[in-house]
Amino acid sequence: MNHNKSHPLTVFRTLKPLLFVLLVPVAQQIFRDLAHRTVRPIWRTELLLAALAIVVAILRWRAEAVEWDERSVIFRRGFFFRQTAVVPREKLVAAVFSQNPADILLGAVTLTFQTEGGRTRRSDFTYKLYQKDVKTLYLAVFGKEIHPIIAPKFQRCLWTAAAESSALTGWTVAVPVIRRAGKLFGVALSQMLLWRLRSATVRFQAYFPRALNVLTLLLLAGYTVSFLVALVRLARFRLSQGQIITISAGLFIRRKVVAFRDLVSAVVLEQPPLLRALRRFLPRISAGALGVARRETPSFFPMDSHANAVRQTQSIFAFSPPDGIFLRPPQTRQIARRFYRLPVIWLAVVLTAAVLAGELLAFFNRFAVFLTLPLLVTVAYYGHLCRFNFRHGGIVFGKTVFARNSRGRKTREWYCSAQAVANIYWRETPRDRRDGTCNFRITLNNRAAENILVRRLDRKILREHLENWLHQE
Amino acid sequence: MIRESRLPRKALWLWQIRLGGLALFPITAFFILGRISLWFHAVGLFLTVAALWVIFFYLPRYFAAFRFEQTADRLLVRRGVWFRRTDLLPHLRVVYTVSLVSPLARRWGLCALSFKLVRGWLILPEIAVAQAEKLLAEVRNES
Repeated sequence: MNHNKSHPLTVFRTLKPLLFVLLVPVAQQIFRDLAHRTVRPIWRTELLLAALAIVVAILRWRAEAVEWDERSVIFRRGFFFRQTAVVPREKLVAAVFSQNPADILLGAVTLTFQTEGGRTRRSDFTYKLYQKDVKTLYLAVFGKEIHPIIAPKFQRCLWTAAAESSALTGWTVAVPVIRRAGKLFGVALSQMLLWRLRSATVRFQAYFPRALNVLTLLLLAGYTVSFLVALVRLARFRLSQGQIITISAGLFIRRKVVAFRDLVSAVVLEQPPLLRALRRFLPRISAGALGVARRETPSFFPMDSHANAVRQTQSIFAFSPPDGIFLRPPQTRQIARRFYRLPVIWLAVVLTAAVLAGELLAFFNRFAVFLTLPLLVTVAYYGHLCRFNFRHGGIVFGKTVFARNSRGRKTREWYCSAQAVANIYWRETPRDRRDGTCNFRITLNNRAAENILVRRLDRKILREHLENWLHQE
Repeated sequence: MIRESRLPRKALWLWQIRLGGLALFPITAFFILGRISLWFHAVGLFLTVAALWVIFFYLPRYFAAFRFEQTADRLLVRRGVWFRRTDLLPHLRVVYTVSLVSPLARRWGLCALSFKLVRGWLILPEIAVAQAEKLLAEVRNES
């Protein structure tokens, strides 16, 4: 039995939630009090709490360990309430190894294992181990097989990063960092940045209101941050394929995802709006709790053309080409109207709101125009996706289940094996009952609980094909 | 061979009794609290009307719309009044089964079944015990 203790950096991982709430303020106050050579009573409680937190973190670190033998991997944690999880080797689906700069300096690796059990969308076991121990563990679990490494061109990573970025993601990353940095240095950093932005928009004030200019700059800044983060994440992308699929990427935080090829539930070819314009696809895998819906889902190859992406999917994951009839919504005017109904309603709402805003609030004319244009673009894109679902959406039942649909702002093509299908059901609204259609959904049997929805399929034809497919299976 | 079945009438009575019993407590509480303010009376009245509507209007329609079909290797369950849902359950996909019997259901010879799938559950409300046992035997043989 190989026994490996966790790395001392585990202590910092445990203390991270308390860092800015308790530890840093206490440390700051200690330094101030030492400078004045006093310890005020009000801080004694906080000092005790901080000391207690550090002791608990150290005890937790001492109790964490990973062991393995030929048959299973054993995860131990907990000092007061001890937990021991014994996981047979064949139940391990995927693992994620990551190293931030501190880990690289101190010889640590954060290791996350995924199994098919446990809570949906959460990893099972996360540990920080010594680098040398992780190498031995990796060889023990995943073997010594050497696979050819593929390194795509940097410009592909660039376009992929651009396609995956959004202003909202940038704000989600940047705002907490700015706030914490401001607290740490005792400076109103966010106010300073906003003042800078406002000053930068003075020259455009003649054309657009200041608020709009600031908002535009904020959106651009958010997108830029998101793009840089995505680019840094995708830098040095490497893929190796065989019985084990390994995807590694990252400039500062090096991340490696390892998955058993046969245990990958599904492969999805995604098209965000930018890649849709470039006619490129982003292939992703769904294995364990690593689902397509999560931000950290691995893309196993930066963007590629449809033909190449499909060829790679079928060669790497051994998904046979879908054979069978492609079930799609009935191509009639009645059904088409149902697909286009919502975009038309939204268009009417946006135009009505714009006209009303222009008439009733004359002072906000320019603001109304500024808001209406991107809203119209959004509604137009939504209409385009509805058209995509009507013309190209559908499903094929066979050894490989193939489905095409859209979700949010992305279109998706799914490839999964018949065994990966868990739940099968469909819903009918009163209008569906009248038209003989239904909204069909299947859920995959992985922890990410991916589900595939295909809208407005003919109910009778669907039922026939389902019966045949289940019968053959 | 496809066997289409409906729920026994007693299942509807069971649901109506359960819902009535459950609704009684909050409604009574609101009417008692009505001494403090008339608004509590109003809420109590609203809840009473809502409960009566569900018990005498919605549940009978839900009961009438509930169907399930059994074949040798799968189960199809259809339910819903305005928004209908149909679940197709191959026996091979069932991880394990659970049977649930309440005291009143036991007295009336009814039993509810719950099928654990890889993701989620499929619940078959109160059916006759003999039919439930037969269905369980078929599912266990297959899975």
